Amino acid sequence: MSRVLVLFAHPNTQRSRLNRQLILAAQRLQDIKVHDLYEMYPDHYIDVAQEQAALAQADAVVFQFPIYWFSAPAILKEWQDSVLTKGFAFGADGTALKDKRFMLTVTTGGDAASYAETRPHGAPLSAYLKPFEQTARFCGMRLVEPHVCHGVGTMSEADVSAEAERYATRLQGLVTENTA
Amino acid sequence: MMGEGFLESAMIYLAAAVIAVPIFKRLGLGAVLGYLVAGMVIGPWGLKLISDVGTIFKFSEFGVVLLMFLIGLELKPATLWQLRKPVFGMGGAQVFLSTLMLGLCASLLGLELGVALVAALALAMSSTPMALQSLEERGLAKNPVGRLTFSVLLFQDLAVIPVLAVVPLFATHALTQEANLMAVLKPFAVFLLIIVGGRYLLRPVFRYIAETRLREVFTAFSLFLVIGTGLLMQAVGISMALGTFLAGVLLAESEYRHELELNLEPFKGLLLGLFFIAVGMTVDFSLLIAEPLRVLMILGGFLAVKTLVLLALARPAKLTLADGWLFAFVLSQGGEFAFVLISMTAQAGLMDTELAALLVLVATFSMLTTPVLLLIYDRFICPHVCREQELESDVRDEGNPVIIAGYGRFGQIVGRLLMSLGIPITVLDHNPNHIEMLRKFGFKVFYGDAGRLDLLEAAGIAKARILVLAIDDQEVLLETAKRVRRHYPDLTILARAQGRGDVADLVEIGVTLARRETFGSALEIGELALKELGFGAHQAHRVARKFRRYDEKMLKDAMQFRGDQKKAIDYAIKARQELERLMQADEQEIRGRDKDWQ
Repeated sequence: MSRVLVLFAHPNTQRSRLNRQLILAAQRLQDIKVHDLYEMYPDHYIDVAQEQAALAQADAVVFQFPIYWFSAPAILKEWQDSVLTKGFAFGADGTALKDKRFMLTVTTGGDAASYAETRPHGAPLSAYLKPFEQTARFCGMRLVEPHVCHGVGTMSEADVSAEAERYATRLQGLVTENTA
Repeated sequence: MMGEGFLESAMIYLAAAVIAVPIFKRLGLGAVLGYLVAGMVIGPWGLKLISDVGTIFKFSEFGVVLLMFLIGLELKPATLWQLRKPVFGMGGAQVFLSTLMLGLCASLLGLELGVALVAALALAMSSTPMALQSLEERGLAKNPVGRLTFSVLLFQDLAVIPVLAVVPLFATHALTQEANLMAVLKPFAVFLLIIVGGRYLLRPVFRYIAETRLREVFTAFSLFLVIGTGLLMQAVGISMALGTFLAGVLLAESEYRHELELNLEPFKGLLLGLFFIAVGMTVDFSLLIAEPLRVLMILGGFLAVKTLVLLALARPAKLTLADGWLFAFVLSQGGEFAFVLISMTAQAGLMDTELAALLVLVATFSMLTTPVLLLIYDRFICPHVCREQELESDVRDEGNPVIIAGYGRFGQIVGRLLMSLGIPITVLDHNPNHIEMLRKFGFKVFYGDAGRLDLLEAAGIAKARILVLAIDDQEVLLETAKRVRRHYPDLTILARAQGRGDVADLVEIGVTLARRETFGSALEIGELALKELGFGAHQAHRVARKFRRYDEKMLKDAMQFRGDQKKAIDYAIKARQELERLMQADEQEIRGRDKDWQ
């Protein structure tokens, strides 16, 4: 059994359609710990010691967020800047994250087709996920295929439930799977 | 008293005060009564330890002068101007009605009308030190009762000036009096001197003295200033007390106001004590022993009439019933002025000496009765009327999710934030003035003591989701929290705490969240200080945030050591070292020149 830490970044969960249901689904699972970053650190001042301790205990790490301006909401960047320090996450003694698995869970308002050259979003979604993946790689983590939900804007209630189900299965996989 | 026995006398006074006052205070009888009884014990009718009462009386009257000066210092001219209505309205009505009623009663008892009115006027004046000291002892000096009482006293002091000028006109044998233009101009000249001197001369002199760094010289100058002004005022025909009061007002905006207060406060306290001791000593028991019934009946009648007039006036002044009784009792006595006016009238041949002695006795005794009346108020009247007043609460259940108890500086900030988002709140406060003010600003506030569970229930606590306890008085707040928690175990209670100990108490009671009232803003100032010292705004904020987090954790951890002082101190020392280590590590990170930083 693996322990999974989900770092969730959504500035307004009360008004979220999909992300809220996804994170609720995650919270119902065993061996999954959720850090709702905006809830825990409303003024963006992150408790580094606490976050590093949680990372150390986890076997797999998930960033879950809606795409904001081709990237993550601001607090997740702040989290990376302050938690992934030299000597902890990288550098000579920075091996705390080595060989842990890393997965991205992202939702987009637009549909998959809008993420292409010559389309409104300009490039495939994978292009925008690269900085996160490189960060994980730099810290010695092993990447897992990202979990993507497109077209949140046009989802029906049933679609949302189905997505929550799909996500739960995916996370459950991270828990039971011993090797990526 | 300046003679060879000076130190001995001083020792007797001090010993009497030191023995009597704490005992009376502890028995709940008040310091003033303690001084009075101490005076009776050491005076000519007691142990006869002091015989020269007259000198000490004159000397101690300077306490009244200091008192008035200090009151003046706290009143800016603009504030005084705001008081003009109560001073002339209430003060005028009190002096006029008391004089009229007392005079009529006296003439019914067979006194000639003119004499009766003069005697009545003398007794209509109350004792400033007695009234103000009694209120101050109760911490009411700045409340509406305090303000109104003060206004009445101020009018009395003003009324003294013409009265003292007029009485000699009726003298059967001539008293010299100066009645020309100069008599009017002189006071104005003196006031002008004080205003100009206070503005242009006082500052350099104070600075010059402050530079000597000799505290006692500063004190000496403060006393010199008051005595000098007093004598100057007296020289131009204004009573010392009124004169120094006005001088105080004129200096209220001076930058040295605070130093003056600090320097004069102890003298005021001691001299007022001495004044009360002197009053106690002057009580002449011979008349009382000779005609106890007559004296007591006159005293009783006098107090009854004066109190009734004051009670009647409390209504239009919009005092609560409880405050009205307090107002009436506090001003019920005759005062120092009675001594002056009566002896003056007797000297002028307008009153026979036997009557004068009787009136002085009544005035003195009436000063003794004030503390007793206040005791009666506390024991018998207040439990009755103060309760009745509480029952008049207008609290209604409006089904709001949030109740805020206590709507002063603290509660208002919470309330305004919620209201700005359109969240309906029910607000309770127990200070009627407060409420009146808030209502003027359009806030909806209910009157009621949040410490009472029935009122909170009337406000709808059973259905509310959150109770914000923002009451100023921490003891009341703790009691309320305890009571509410016992009856509503699931309610979210957010509480204002004063100190660390209060936070611990509140957490123990089981409030949802307690925050120190000054912590947030103090931390903000600290953050600004760091910024001024060259930290970047963001870094200063982070450091302050880190400090807050650690300090709050420390507070929580320290709770387990409550009651074990040694362990608590050990923990505090350890925690402080840990905090320093943590903070400095962060500082290094901020300011260090790590080559990895871009």
